[in-house]
Amino acid sequence: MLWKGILFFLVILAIQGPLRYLLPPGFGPPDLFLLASLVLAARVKPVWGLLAAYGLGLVQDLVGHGLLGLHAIGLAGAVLLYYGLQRWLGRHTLLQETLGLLAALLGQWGSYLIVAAWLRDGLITPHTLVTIFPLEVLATLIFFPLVQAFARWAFGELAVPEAQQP
Amino acid sequence: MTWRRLALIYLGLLAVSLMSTRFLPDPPLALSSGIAPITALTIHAAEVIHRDLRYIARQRTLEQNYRRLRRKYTALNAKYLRLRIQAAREKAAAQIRNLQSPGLVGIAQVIGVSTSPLLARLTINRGSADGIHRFMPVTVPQGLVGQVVQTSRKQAEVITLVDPRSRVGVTVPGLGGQGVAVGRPPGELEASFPTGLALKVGDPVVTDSLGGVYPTGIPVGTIAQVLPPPPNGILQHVLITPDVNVNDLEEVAILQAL
Repeated sequence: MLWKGILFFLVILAIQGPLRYLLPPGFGPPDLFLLASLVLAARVKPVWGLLAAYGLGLVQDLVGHGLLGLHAIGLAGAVLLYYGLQRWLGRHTLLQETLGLLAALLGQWGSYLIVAAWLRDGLITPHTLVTIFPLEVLATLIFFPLVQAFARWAFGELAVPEAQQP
Repeated sequence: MTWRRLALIYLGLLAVSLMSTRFLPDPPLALSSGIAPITALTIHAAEVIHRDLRYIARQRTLEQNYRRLRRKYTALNAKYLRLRIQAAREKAAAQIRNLQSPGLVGIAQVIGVSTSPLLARLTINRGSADGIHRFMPVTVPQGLVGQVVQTSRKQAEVITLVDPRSRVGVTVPGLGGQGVAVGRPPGELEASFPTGLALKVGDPVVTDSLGGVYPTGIPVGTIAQVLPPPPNGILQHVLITPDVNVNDLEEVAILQAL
């Protein structure tokens, strides 16, 4: 069902910006590209997941007319930490999934910080970390189950590795 | 092993990103114009939804404000009515204190009237618990109503001046002479005065100290008819129209008994 997968990414692409209009003032939109990267990373081999996340981030940079490579490396960092935590904890329970998402957010913002330190142009300030980051974490956590459900419709259920089967 | 490989790939990608963010220009608009129709459509849809949601929220706020103001208006209106009634009472009480007697005990509401066509009595909502006792005069600013004849703890019965068993000492200001006015249902009094007084229709009649029940000078009524004197009589009789319509009272004032 290739068309479902394409539709999934088109919807993510289409509603990421407009979501800002529907949320209350001061409430940042969730990072749907991050959630899409994680959904994809959970379904493909890690190397491909990492590269796909980078590619998705490049699309986000192109669409957003921003710094080319900023969101790309953010999503790559997110997927890297997501894989790292998943390797230790697995992803069997809701708590593990949530911890994986939090690790991904840390990886994403950690990557942003590296790029910001490299650019030295005030891209990320302490004020940004205090105001935007918590709201984005909250919004992304809230939207996580919705995107997961959408991904189950688009890509099917996650395959359980043989080692984890009862 | 995979983790190390991933970390290496990440480092490579990081290097690419660091270079691209530093040295590459911002991506041209032409690259994003391909998806512009999609985003434009969804942005328009989101704007419409947002506007509708805001409209609904504003309508709800307006409705809540309307209900709140309506409740406030009702409460204030009730308060205004209470205050108006209280002000009317205070005004009446002040008039009674100034014009009739300073010994005002209180204001009572009329809660019942006599059902008999022969009697003219009222029941008021104050009794012995409020300091009401027998023989206390009952008035309104327009004039005398009667006197308390019986009390219970919370209520009292008032015999009005048009009751056939009512006796009120009266006089005509400026003429002198003392008379007794007896109630004549449904709405008159018949007063007897000593002969020799030049009584005429329209003369005002007020209370007198005769009988020791009422303070003097409280308006009772106006002479409506001077009856022909009986042969060899020593009293002359007049019919008095009371100043107070006792069938149309809502509140009365109770005065200290003499």
